[in-house]
Amino acid sequence: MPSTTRVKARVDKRWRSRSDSSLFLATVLWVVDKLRRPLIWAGIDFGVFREVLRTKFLIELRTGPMGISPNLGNMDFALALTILAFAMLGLLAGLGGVLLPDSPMIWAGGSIAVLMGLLAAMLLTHHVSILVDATDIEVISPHPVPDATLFATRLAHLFVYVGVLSSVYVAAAMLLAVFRQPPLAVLCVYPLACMLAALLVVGATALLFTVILRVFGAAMYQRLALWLQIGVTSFMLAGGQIVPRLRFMEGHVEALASDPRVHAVLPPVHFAGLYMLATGEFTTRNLVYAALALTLPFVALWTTLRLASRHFVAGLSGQVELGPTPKRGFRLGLVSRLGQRLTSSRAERAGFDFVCAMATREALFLKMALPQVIGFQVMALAMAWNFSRDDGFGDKIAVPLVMAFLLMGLPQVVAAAGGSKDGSARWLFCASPLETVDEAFRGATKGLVCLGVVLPMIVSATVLLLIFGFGHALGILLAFELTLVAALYFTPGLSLYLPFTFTVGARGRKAPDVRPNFLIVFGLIFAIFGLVLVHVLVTLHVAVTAIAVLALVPLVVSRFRALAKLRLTYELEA
Amino acid sequence: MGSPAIEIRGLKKSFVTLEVLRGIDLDVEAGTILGYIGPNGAGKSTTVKILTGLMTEFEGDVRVAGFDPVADPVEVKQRIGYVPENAILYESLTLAEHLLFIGRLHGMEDDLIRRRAEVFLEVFELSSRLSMRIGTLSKGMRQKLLLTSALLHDPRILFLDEPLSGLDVNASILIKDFLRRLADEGRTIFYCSHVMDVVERVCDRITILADGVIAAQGTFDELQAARGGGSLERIFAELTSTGADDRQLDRLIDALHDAS
Repeated sequence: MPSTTRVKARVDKRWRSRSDSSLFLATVLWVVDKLRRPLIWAGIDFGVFREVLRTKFLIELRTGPMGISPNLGNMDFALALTILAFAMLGLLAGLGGVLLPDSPMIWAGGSIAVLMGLLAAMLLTHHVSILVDATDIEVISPHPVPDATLFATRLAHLFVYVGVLSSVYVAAAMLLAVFRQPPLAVLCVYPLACMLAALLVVGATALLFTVILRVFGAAMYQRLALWLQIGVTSFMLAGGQIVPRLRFMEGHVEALASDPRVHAVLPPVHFAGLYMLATGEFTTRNLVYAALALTLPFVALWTTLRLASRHFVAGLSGQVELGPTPKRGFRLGLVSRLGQRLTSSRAERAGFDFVCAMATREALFLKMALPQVIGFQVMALAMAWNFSRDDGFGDKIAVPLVMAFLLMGLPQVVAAAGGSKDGSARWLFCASPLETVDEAFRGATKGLVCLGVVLPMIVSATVLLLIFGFGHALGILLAFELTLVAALYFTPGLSLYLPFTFTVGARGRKAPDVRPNFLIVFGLIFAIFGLVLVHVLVTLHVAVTAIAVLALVPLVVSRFRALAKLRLTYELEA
Repeated sequence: MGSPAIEIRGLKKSFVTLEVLRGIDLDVEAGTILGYIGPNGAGKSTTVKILTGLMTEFEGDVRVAGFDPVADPVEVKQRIGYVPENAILYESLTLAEHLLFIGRLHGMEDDLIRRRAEVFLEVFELSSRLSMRIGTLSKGMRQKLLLTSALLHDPRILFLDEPLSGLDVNASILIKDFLRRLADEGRTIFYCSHVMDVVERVCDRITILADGVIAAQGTFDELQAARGGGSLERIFAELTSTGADDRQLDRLIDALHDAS
């Protein structure tokens, strides 16, 4: 008979998960264990917190990083690309430290401001989904998980990604800056200041979402959280274009930029003050800044935890949606009527209408693609408005640039449309009597192009007409055609899925390589410049513009017909 | 007499080292409701997935409506309707969007989809929910929607895996009578269920699966005659039980009492 110890060891091994031995998970849990006392002090149920967080990371170790992407495979590549970008920007920040050896305050404040801006952009456009992720809420909500504890796990989850990206940035910056900046300050205080800055970004972002939870309650939370994400993303992308131009801001921007009282309320300045203490500048101002730098992140986190201590679980249980579902029954909507014209068979129509319906309601798609698409649209229109206020050549560049800029949303739309929490419902396609699912796939792809590019282009064209007047109609039409040709040209080059047929979190299925979707962005940037150049040249004379508009029609038609050759590059399995 | 609606010869299926089906031979004549029953993991759903063309790797020969589901999956899928157990649907689609989607995948005209669907939804008391999302439906309503989707294109053969799951008594009676009428019109129904009294009353023939092979088959009367009478539940337990005796029950209760 085996000894008791042996039996126990065997049972333990049987119950252990292979991912438990992951260095990453062990490190995260080690840090969490070290934070036990402050977490308990903050009112967190530590046992539940640790377990929910552990499980979340266990799942992510198997499925891929959440919030980075819709977990469609190859997404570690996206994370690697982001890390690389942060490393490059960190090196640039470090270079700043080399070039500004006599201005440590400006260097520290500037590089930390860049880090905070990058993190805020990352959080709001992608990672914030982690905060309001509802994929596991049905599993968690029946169990005794306090609202604040669940929210704390989301914050910790978010901070792990933010922490990794910040560490890369800081390490790269330190690598160069240490040669010309005070070494002790760079090696000891600069990383601390950057981590506190990252914590403040997480706390402040989370605060936005918990304030609307408290103000508006749980029922509308998911919808409002989505609109908040869209609004803040749009503001971040377009605010710089609009705010300085607003009449009441005229003359104030420069004054504000040089006002020391304004500096005193800017968090990067506080973190720079902390850094300056380490360089030996013990001024009262730096002491105050350092005190603010050390307290503000924790105040933001504590406040957001308090605000999330009620209704958070209920808030996550709501529907993620833009608005109420239209009570249309079997009647066709406008987009569906458009689909009737653009599709050539019933299976294509099924794919087209399916995508149009899902894209307005699928939580993952809404969170991943919509803020970017709307953000790019608002930014493009803000650029147009800005150009319209300049005399001379502004309109010539604005019209094609605004239109072509909308191409930037296409890769994200395609990537985000791959996954769905109901991805297993692909059995409906598999069980249908189609020779291949290619027809439905083609209809679905057309639907995606319509939603992701054509509809925003129609909106932009309308606004451009209003801004620049009907005298520019021909030029706007030309820009519309050129952009459409480019969109139809790039679409087959993207890695395309049959939309919404990959289950979120399913790894290991045969899937196309999505790396081209990231790399094609560089091609799109060149295409935008090319389109602007062509447009500027062609619109030098109205007759040439008119001929070009007519000449482009067959090209649009032929590119559209080329979509008929699209084939699904992987086998769809039930 | 024509060829059977469903023919299975020497069907075997393994998942890695687990042999789920170990040689099934079965004919189902047109106009028959076949009850295909067995304990959990006996291979019922696997058989259905093979017959419906959703699973293509197996050993043996299978014909559905005269077609091979592997070689001619489209021909098979045009002629069948399928209601899976625990079907996952696109929760964010409305009923109307879902039914148009399914109908179009079957190549149906929109008008025909609407006309048929409206009748089904009216009878199933779902008309008022046409513009509502599938995610808002109760389990029973989802089941009615699945049945509507499976029947929308008027299939000759139906594969139903626990079709009455979640339905209220009135809806269950309606569906059972409806299935009888469909069979009387010549449609074939392959009916998987764990609810023995329904299988006993609804099905013309019954096949009992155990450990990947057919343990018994025939009409209910034939099964009774062969097993010495009793209900289908008793016959099923006799053929498939692994021995849920008092000792096993004691172990479960003891496990709950173990607080150390």
